[in-house]
Amino acid sequence: MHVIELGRDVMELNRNLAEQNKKILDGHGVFAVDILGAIGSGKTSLIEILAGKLSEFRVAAIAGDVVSDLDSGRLNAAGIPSVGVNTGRECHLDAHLVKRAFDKLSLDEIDILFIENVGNLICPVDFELGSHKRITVVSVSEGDDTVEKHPMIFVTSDAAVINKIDIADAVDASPQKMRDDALKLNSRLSVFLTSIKTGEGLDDVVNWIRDAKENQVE
Amino acid sequence: MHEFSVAGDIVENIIVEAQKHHAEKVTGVFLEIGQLMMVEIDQLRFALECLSKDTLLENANIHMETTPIVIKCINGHEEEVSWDPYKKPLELTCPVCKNTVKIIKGRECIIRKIVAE
Ligand SMILES: Nc1nc2c(ncn2[C@@H]2O[C@H](COP(=O)(O)OP(=O)(O)OP(=O)(O)O)[C@@H](O)[C@H]2O)c(=O)[nH]1
Ligand SMILES: [Mg+2]
Ligand SMILES: [Zn+2]
Repeated sequence: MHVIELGRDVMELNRNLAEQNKKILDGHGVFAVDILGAIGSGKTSLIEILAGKLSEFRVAAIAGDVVSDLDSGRLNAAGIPSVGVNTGRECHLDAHLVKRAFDKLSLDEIDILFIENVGNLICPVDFELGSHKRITVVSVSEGDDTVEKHPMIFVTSDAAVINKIDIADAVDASPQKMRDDALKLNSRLSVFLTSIKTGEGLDDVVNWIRDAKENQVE
Repeated sequence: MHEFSVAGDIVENIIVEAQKHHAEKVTGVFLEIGQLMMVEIDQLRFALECLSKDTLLENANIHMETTPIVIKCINGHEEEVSWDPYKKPLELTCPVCKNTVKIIKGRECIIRKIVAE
């Protein structure tokens, strides 16, 4: 019987790949933003809207889905060059899948790349992809205790979008509570209350992305 | 739920290492799981047990320890903080000088050592 010392971190492989991805992105001058969030919270809609408002930039997207190509199809139809990535049985994108998607994009022709993860507030947290910023999207229709229930994703995000505030009353949810919960978890978080239906709050998200991109270049 | 994919990586790494040492059986596994990892310890254990069936890892004693989060502020203060997501929110400010901090540890899943025969 003998002891074999390993000290090996199994998460490191993904983390190293993510770092390589970031170098590739930086090398091509691409600013990448993760869009994480709950199922149906408005991730794809947000990318569509943001791309329209960030018209001074060339925007592209990678859309992760468990089995379909629906989201990338939708984004392509909206004029946003997009690659769909099927995660199969996995509940999250990983750095390797994203790297493969890079090969299908012309990175030199992209300024901002949105990476839509699989709708899930838990699993994507542990897998960095190599992007520069992480935005998490939840909506009031998941219930206003969603933020409280999923602390980690807010701790590791740079911004949170609380979406569908137009229907907050109808679903008896308080967007303010969701904002407070998010800030309690992570005081550095930028929190936006938005409605993609009415347009409320979206310009603030756009300005935040513009600022973040500018700081990136420095 | 990605306990199974994490467990798969753990089992694979251990088998490769054990074979390198010409071990016939692995009887003990020592894991350290960072408190910020989104895996449930019980489910991870279950996944490890399922995936080690019919391998040299079968019936190994699996020891799991959760390891603390380490944060570092812009003034260089490095502090260990403990977090229970279900009870107490994570303070992301430096306990010494109240400045903003970066998380430098807590998101790892380390195979510390294995016991082989
Ligand atoms: N009322 C209202 N509906 C919205 C808003 N934003 C998105 N929706 C609707 O919510 C539904 C889901 O939006 P998607 O953008 O597909 O959401 P998603 O997060 O990409 O969904 P998955 O990728 O399937 O997880 C669509 O029917 C949208 O029209 C909003 O602000 N208000
Ligand atoms: Mg979508
Ligand atoms: Zn300090």
